[in-house]
Amino acid sequence: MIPIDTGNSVIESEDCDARPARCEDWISRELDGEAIFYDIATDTTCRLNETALLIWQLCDGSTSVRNIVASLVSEYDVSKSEARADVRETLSQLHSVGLISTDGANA
Amino acid sequence: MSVLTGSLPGIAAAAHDAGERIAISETVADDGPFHFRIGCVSVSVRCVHVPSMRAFRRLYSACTLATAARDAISVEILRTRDGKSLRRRYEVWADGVKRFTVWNVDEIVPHIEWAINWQIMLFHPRFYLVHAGVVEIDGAGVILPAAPGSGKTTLTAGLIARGARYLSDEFAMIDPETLRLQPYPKALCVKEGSFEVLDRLGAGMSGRPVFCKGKKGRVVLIRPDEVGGEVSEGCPVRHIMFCQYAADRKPSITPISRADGVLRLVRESFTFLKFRASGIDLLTDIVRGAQCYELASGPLEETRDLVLHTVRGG
Repeated sequence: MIPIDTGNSVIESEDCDARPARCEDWISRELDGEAIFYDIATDTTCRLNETALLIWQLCDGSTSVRNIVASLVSEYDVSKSEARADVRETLSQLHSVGLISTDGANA
Repeated sequence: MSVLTGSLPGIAAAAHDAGERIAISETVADDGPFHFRIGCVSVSVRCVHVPSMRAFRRLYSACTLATAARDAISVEILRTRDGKSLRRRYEVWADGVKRFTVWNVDEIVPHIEWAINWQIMLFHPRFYLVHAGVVEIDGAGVILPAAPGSGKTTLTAGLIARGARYLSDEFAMIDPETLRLQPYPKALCVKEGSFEVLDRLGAGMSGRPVFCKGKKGRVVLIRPDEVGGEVSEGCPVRHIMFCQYAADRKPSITPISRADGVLRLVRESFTFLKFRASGIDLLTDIVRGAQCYELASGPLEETRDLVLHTVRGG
């Protein structure tokens, strides 16, 4: 998981139709399936592992959380409940550092 | 006493301002200024406390220049008195700015080095700097980033005593254009807790002058050749080992991802905020050509052998 503190969950339910969107202000560089992100406005850096990077990439503003979970289930050998928990935690962390926004969620 | 033909930096600047070119024959006093090129860093030092000036010159006798380099960092030690107590003190000035005040003569030499390091960190425009010990092993650059007190100087000394070539015990100086490590072979600054282990390496610690380096306590400064090491001329980065020291554990080394390596390098960088986005690009390019590890270091000999074994493909 990304090495940052977990903020308050913004995704209260795995069944919600929230469609989180990537924040494009960050500079990102991929390395061996992971990625480094740098926000020039705040001089914040963070690293996403392979799973977190996939989730971030799926946050295109039109894919629902439910479909992100489904993508993880199909991509990895994990149960739906495991994928749900990972997605929820990762989205919370991505939101807390500002890598995604949930504006327009439940649209 | 040596005789130089050249000019003091200040006089040279004045001459250029006047559109003149002058050569000054000068007899240099025992307090300097003396000029050095320490790897890729040029320094001119003048120190009113002559024994400290001599100690510094002994440390850098292999780096002496006849005249000041144009880009030299200028360090000057002045003797003053405290306004209230009239107690004698020494001010350490670097490029015209007072950096430190020290009260005891055994603090002067470490603070000359400290002032040079400050100037490099703040004003050296060219290189990307990571807080690390740095050596070259069989042509491969090895960066050992670590927090202060993590034993990086001791490990660096241990490695050069076993044939590694020395670049620095303080900075990984990375040329952004070539991504190669540049040497800054300052004297190894060994803290009191490592005197015994350095003695085992053959550094001959007894009888050496012991200096005081502020909160770091008592230190001895050692030239790399005094532990049998040669100085590298520069090399590419091939291994990055993030060190964490604990005295009584068996050392181990664990590969980490390159992205993790970049993040950790940012944390150990002195100059990231000068480079910012281009720093991310630079570090990303560096780790693409290197292996990254977490090194849980312990007793010197075992840790040193583990590093050598890893670099040599064991």
